Amino acid sequence: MEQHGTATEPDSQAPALRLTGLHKQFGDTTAVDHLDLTVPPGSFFGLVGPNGAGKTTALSMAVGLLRPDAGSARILGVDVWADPVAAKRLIGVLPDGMALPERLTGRELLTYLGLLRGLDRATVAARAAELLEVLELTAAERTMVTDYSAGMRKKITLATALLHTPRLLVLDEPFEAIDPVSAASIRVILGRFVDAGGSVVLSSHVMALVEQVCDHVGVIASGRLVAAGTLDQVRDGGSLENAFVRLVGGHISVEGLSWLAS
Amino acid sequence: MAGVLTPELSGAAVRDTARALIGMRRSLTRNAPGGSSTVQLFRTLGLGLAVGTLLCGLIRFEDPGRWVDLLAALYLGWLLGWAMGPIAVRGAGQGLRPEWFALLPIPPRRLAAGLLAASFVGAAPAVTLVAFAALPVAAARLGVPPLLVAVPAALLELMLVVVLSRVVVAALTAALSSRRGQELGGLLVAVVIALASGGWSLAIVMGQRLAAGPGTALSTALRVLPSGWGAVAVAAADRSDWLLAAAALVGLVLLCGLLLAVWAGLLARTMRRPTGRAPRARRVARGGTARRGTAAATPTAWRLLPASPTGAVVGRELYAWRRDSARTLLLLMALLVSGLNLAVPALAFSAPALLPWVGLGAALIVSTGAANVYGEDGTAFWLTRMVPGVERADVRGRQVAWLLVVGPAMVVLTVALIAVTGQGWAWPFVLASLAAVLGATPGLMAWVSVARPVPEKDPHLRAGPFDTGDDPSTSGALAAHGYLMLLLVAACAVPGALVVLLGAVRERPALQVAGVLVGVATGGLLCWWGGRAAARRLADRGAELMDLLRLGPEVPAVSEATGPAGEPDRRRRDAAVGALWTVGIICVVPQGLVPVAFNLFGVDPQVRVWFAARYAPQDLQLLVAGGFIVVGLLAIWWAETIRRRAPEPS
Repeated sequence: MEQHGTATEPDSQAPALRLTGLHKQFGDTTAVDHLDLTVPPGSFFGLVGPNGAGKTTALSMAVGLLRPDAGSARILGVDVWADPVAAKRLIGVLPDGMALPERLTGRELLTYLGLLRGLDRATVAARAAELLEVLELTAAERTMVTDYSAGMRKKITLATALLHTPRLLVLDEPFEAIDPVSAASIRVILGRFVDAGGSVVLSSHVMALVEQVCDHVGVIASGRLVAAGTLDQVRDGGSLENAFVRLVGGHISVEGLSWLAS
Repeated sequence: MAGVLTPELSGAAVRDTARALIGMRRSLTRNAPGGSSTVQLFRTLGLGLAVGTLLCGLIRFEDPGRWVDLLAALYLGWLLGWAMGPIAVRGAGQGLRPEWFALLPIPPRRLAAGLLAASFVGAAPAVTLVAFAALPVAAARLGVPPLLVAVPAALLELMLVVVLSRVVVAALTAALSSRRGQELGGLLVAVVIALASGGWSLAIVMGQRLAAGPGTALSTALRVLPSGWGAVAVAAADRSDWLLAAAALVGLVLLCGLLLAVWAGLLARTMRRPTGRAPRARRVARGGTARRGTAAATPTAWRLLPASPTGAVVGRELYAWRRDSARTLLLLMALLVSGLNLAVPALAFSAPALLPWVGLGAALIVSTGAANVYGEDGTAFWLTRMVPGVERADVRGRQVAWLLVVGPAMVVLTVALIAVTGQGWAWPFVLASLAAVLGATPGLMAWVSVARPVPEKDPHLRAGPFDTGDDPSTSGALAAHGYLMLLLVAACAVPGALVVLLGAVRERPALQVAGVLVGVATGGLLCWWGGRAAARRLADRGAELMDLLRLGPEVPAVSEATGPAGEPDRRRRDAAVGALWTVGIICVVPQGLVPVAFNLFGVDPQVRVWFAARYAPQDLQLLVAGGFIVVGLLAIWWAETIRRRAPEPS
């Protein structure tokens, strides 16, 4: 991969996301260990890893929500931490388990965010209506976000990520707690987004889902990237699940608990 | 309790359950973060009050009706303490929660008996027993029969308060499992806090009425309430009115039985729904949402506000003010506190000069809730972080919304009260200070919230509007920040008010007008400066604020073995800072400024209550009050020194 200098203008040939030597330490625990990762433009990239592997920490640093101890993150060539304003125009983010302006309804939240981003009233109103419709949130028209279920929170947060037509979507566990019907429509939305030239990075620990929707995969364990490439490269003829267990060095323990079988 | 003795309720089984529960509660108290010092403080305080109550049992009265009034009033105080205690400390650990045991194969009745037995063991019942011994002590002077009635009466009263407190906790737990119940619980907390800070004015009105002698409505009420039945029984025994004595005692037994039944019912309900997670009853959002069907409509607030980033934030905040009960309760509490501290004394002691200040007092109390606006929103700040270059809009939008909500209410209240009472002299004083306060609060709100944020639990995870999480150091830090805001904002009102005072003393109206202008300028300048400084800091250090809101003040350690070493120190420090601030505020405001104000406004010298300075000789009163102010400021300075010496959270 060729080197790209720090740009303030997005370069559509540059990697959609490029992490270089990204590092984060919490006390004695290394959450992300000098991580290098490249997401090709126009790809649908799945980041997989066991619990506590550092997926959320890495993605938070990649989008500018958590300051890294070392390393850099670039979105279409724009350095997230050197030029946050330019970088943030390019991305839509769905973080995991964060609060929202809780006392707004879904439509109010999207209206607020659209106006905050400088869109005009008519555009905001039209986009909000469409997003609520597609994500099946119109039935909860008068419900405040604080009363939303976990799945509804995911959906409205996804809507906030899509509202301003970003070039890269960074989604942390987007399908968790989402019912199968909504999950299918979200998959269609994301597929269309990639077809139109956008890029998606999502994290998950559901291998079957990643196999279905992603064309590129990165496997992260103990804060390090242990494999990355196209889906076929990583699974190497077998299933992604087998490749994953082999890569992260897991083994299924059946010792002990003899009393349970008695 | 008085059920049939089945094997499940046999003495040994209940004793074992109770013993296990008591052991568990001891461990909880021991492990409560920063708890032991606070617990110690409360124990000492409680013991002091108990000994005071006991000594009251020794006072001799000419009129036998008097001691019944006195003891009934004191018992009522203890009863209210037991009933309100669990409301006030909600969230700071509730001891044993019945829902924890829902999955254990223990018969519910044995568990109930065990929990009840456990609640009679501990410092609080022991301290209350000391206090309630006042009744036997008083009865001992009357002879043997009254004493024989007094002992069971005191024990029954103890039983009553303990069981009542259990009922309150159980009812609260049941209520808090629904959103509406949470808001109701919040309302209760607001009223209790308001009473704690301003209840003295009601107490003094009550004292005045009591001094008028028995036979008044108040003394009747004290005897009719169950807290007075013990004293009534003893007095009846003294008169050989055995029927009344027996009726009072039987009444207490029946009431205890009734409360036990209510408690058992509530307990069973809690156990059936053991998760403790509030079901998400969906409420209809109040105000201005576009109606269904009008698909592409803009919600009301933003149709009226300018279509700009700042307008967007103002809209968001206005909806929050309308719908977040924590904010509406803050306004209610401010009005209650100010009313109890100023309006009630004004009416009770015929001091109308206090009335023009009610609006200003309420504005000052509201300012205490403006110290941590970013921490209050929890991790929701991520959304602001992800939109490029909107820091200024976020800060200014919050300021504008605050002014739109609080400003008009306080101005209308003030103008109305001055107009109605005809206290025309107050215009320049009140206008100068109110303008300064209404401007300084949004300015300092922005600056303090950004510069000294306290991370709180995420709003959608809170159990009710006053839930700050299980860590008392959070509530300690929030209290300290609230007091800090109060003092800073009050200080901002001083320059303008001083110029007005100078104009009044020299009888130069122009100087008074200048004073009002000084107040307006102070407020305006602080609002502008605070917002600008906050927006800059937010732009420079937004990432650090985000980290703090998300990860908390300490660097989280995943492994148990490498837990943060400074943790207990930090908690102890925060507890000390909170305690010193509380002492400081008590010395400066009620023991310092209030007596000074009373002297200046000519409140009846007989009005003393708990204002120490008012007990001093007339000439020395101002000196004593001044001394309290100095001591209070020293305590605050000490608290801030402790905090500054501590290493900054990374």
